[in-house]
Amino acid sequence: MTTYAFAAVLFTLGIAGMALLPNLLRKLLAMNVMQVAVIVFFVSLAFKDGATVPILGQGGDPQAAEFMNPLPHTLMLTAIVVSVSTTGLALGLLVRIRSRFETLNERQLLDKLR
Amino acid sequence: MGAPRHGGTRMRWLLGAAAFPALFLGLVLGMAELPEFGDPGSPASTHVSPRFIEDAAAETGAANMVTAVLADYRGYDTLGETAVIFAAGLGCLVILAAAGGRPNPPAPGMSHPFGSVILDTATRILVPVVLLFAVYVLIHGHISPGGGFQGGVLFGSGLIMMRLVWGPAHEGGTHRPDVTAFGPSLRGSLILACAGILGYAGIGLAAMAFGGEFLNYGTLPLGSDPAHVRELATLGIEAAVFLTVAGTVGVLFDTISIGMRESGVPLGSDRGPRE
Repeated sequence: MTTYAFAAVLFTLGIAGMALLPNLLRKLLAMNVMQVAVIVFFVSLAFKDGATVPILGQGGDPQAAEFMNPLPHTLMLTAIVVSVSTTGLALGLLVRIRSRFETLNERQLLDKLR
Repeated sequence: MGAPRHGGTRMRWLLGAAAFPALFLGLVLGMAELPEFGDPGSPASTHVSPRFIEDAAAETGAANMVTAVLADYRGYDTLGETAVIFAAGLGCLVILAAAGGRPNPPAPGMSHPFGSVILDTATRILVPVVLLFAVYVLIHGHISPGGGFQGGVLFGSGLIMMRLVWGPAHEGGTHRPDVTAFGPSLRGSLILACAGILGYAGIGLAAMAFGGEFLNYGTLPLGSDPAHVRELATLGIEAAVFLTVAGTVGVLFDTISIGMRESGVPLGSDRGPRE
């Protein structure tokens, strides 16, 4: 329950940051915080009491109760790298915006766009 | 969006002060209905995952079940993820390098040399270890935590480290005449990324050519033991992912540093007026 609540705190902080911060770079960082919240949530769903990491040791017949659920781990593994790439693409857009409008402040941008 | 110039700020913070606690409460209330943390009988742990846990090692030869699920059971999904990463690199290239009007600009590092003996020596010692460890993480991904994504990002970070300290990887690009730049140029990174994604799809198509389904590696003529064949194909998939991720990290870094040099001002200095 604590990890779920922690994920909820991070998610709320991220969304609030995206909506309220004026600087586009900070909005992007807030979006990353939100993505981390989703990752924390998924990985905590994979947890099982008394189970170990989903890597088979020496031999034996693996039982489902002995290992944590590998599926959320897989999904989050790709999600992390995709989030790195989307952050890179967003940074590229920010560089473009910065070089064209000379600001990353949302309000100044809106003024310059009208 | 059409709000008057500065009147919206107070309104926005008031609205936020009401809306976000409400969102948080909603999330926590919704979570009360979730299964207990660590409950082995939760729906997520009882439907598909027992099959993955009990059969993955026998079916795919990978002791690391995450790798088995990633590259084999859900190989189609991972192909999509890899394509997303590749597309992000291409997008950055189009936004920054191509739109700058220069068809094939040389890849600059960050514009200023650091020129410190400590940095230079530390990089000389660290970078080979980082690159070697990246390859180890890739190859050992079957039996320990690791795989193409992690190894690729590690390899890319090693490349970025060299760019940051020694400058760009093109002729005469190093800040130190006695240090030879190492690592792919922007064009080279792009070729790496393309080779990775094509290799991934190619392994899938090869499986079709030998009579299986797309990305169902069991039919590849690599041996008689099906689990071993799948293990080899999984390694191929991971290597393809590795190339794509490492190449894309290089493309992202190079294009962003080109864009920053052209815009003249580093992003971090933009603070904007605070009211």
